[in-house]
Amino acid sequence: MKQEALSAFQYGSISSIAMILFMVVFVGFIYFAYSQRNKEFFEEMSQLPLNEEKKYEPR
Amino acid sequence: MSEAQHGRFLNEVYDDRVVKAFVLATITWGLIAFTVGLIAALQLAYWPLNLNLEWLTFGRIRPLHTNAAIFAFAGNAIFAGIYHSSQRLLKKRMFNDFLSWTHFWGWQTIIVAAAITLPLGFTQSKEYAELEWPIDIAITVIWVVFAVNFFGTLIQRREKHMYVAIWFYISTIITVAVLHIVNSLEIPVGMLQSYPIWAGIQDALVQWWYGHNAVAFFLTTPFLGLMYYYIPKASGRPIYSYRLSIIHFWALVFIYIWAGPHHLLNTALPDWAQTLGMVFSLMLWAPSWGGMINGLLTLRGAWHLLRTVPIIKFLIVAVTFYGMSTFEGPLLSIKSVSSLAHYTDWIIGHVHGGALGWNGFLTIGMLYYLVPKLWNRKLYSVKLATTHFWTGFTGVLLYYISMWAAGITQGLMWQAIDSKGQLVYPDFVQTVTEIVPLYWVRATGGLLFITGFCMMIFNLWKTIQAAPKEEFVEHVTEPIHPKDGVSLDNGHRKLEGMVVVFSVLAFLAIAVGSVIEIYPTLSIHKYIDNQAMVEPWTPLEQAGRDIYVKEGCYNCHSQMIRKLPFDVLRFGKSSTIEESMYDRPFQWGSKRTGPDLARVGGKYPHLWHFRHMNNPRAMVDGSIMPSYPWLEHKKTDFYSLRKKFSVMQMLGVPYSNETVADADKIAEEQAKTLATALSEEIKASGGAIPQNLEQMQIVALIAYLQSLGQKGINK
Ligand code: HEC
Repeated sequence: MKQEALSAFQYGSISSIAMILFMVVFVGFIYFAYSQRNKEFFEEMSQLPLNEEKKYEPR
Repeated sequence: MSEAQHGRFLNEVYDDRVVKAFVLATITWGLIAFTVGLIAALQLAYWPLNLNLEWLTFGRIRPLHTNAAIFAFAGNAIFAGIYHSSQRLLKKRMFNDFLSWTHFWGWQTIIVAAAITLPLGFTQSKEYAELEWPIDIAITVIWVVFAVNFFGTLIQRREKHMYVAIWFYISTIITVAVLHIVNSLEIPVGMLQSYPIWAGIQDALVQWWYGHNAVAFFLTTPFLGLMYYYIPKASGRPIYSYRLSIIHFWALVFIYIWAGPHHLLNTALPDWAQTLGMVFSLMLWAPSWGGMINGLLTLRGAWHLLRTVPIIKFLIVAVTFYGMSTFEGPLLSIKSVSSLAHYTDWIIGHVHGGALGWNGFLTIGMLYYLVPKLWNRKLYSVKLATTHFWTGFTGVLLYYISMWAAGITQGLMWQAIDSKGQLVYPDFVQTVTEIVPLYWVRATGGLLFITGFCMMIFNLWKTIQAAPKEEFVEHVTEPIHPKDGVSLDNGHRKLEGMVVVFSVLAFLAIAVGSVIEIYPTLSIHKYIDNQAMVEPWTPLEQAGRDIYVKEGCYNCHSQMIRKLPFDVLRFGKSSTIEESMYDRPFQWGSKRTGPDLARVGGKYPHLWHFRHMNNPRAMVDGSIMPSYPWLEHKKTDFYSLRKKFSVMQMLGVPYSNETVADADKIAEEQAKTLATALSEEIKASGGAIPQNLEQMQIVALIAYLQSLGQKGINK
């Protein structure tokens, strides 16, 4: 009996906490990623791998 | 150039020697890993290819193949890519040359140690964590060396911002350390043997938390970092959306860690954990496809590159395979789909779509990019690279489609129940011989993949041969970006802070899911049903169990009857948590090339097992199981049993002090009784009785097999 009770046992609160936690973090990152403030910065960031090999010679 | 007039420059010489070393190691180990895989594949089609040598049997060779593919091939590829791209993205030579070379040689030594110990049968039997404790310690040490080297570079970096690839590398280093240490908590019982501190269901959950996240953080996140670097490099275009990559990263890191229980659907694992694993696996689909789209759309407006540049072909097809595998994965995590696919070759197909298509092709694309760059010489033949692409691609498709067909065919045959409620295919071996032709197709696919890989080796070899003799060292002289206000002598503190904050966040993201999943399982003993309790193994059974582990029987046999009607019809009452509560390591298995053995005890007489182990075909026509004749003349290790049992007792298995003190004698006595009974049966059947039968491994193994499913106190 206990065995069956166990296998059906739902750690209900744990799953909800997990989901809420996930949603908060997720929405936070969407906000961070899509806020206009960061737009220019991101464009610059995405150029990082491409810029690295430009060779500048000191004059 | 106007920026240059600001007048501050840095001159950095990158360490590309170690990158070259990792590149060559990737190529070498790749060839070995694939070849061993091909041999294993051929053995399933034609078992005598193990030459009747114990070191080459499927159970010994499959772990060698998986470990070589993951840690030797993919591992060295990751290190090559990380060392190459990080230096450039951070504008800094690796922190310390000595650490770089310690990392390189340490890792190669570990691989060699694995290649020696696995065929010899030194294994913990936990998939992709088979290596025994001394090697586990070495892995930890070398990983720390790598971490110090990487974070040291990060802290001294000369580029203020961390490009997205770097984030993926950070999460890889942190998470792999956590996974490896927790899953390798074990107590040595000999020079090359140990028992995990976890038992039964705990061991199962920890193992698949590890196993799945080895896929996530060893075969996915680092390769995504490489994707975010090498696709822009090879195509000369920035990544499609940097924003998407941020979401891709955090969602992936947070969600992946929860998905492990999808390897244990419909088993004795409590439902809440199964549900959690399934839900998070389904959620994984979204960020994974976000990442795939991000990679693919980088080529937006330049699709012609796909036709003309082989590197782009490899990289883009790799990303497409990533998308396919991450679609199929969540699908397979749905309980009903899992009930069909689990234990079948569909899973093997799924894995190889990821391993050959995604990891393999991404690595190959990277190699075609890196070798000409590092050796400062144009690729020897673009045409040959294109031929390689098509050969390899056909190989992967053949592999994938054949295993998909084999898996679904076998899964449906296992499930088939007629109108009277009887199994349509009660003979397990029937479901095996049916798919043997597909094993030949799979092997052909593998052969094509290897053929392509050899073309690459030739191509790169010719490239390197024609390279200029004097070593090419990349100097980068760049202005210090005035806008960022970063200079060599100040501003470092703030940046260091960022790395730490970032790493802590990434750690938290994986820690939350891990704790929530694993912690409740640790208290599971509170719920164990006294009525369903089982006796722990006797000393002889434990000795037999260790032989079962050593021979790698778990590579073909499960010991977990799922709560599914057709499983119960075929193998008996579904397995309970209690039945494996003392199992160290657990043997639930992940694949059924042979039938489940959880309740095989008492099914056959001793003699049947004796003759079956000697040559399975003597008992079952068409069996593809290897023969194990050496078990009849190799002696059981009784001596070590006392030590083993004292460790078991310390870990909480209820053995009395007398049992521990006399473990070897008790085992010898039981062996004598069993051997006498077996001798009678052999004599009656007119066979030859091996000398000193009671000392031989076959007796211990039969004792173990006969006790499976028979240990309940209240039967
Ligand atoms: C290459 C995969 C493979 C490996 C490795 C393997 N087996 Fe098997 N085994 C099979 C197949 C297939 C069958 C079904 C045909 C048969 O009975 O021979 C089978 C059947 C069995 C059976 C009979 C089960 C039943 O219910 O009829 C036993 C017992 C068994 N294996 C034990 C072992 C042991 C012990 C080992 C390790 C020493 C082992 N097997 C390794 C593939 C394998």
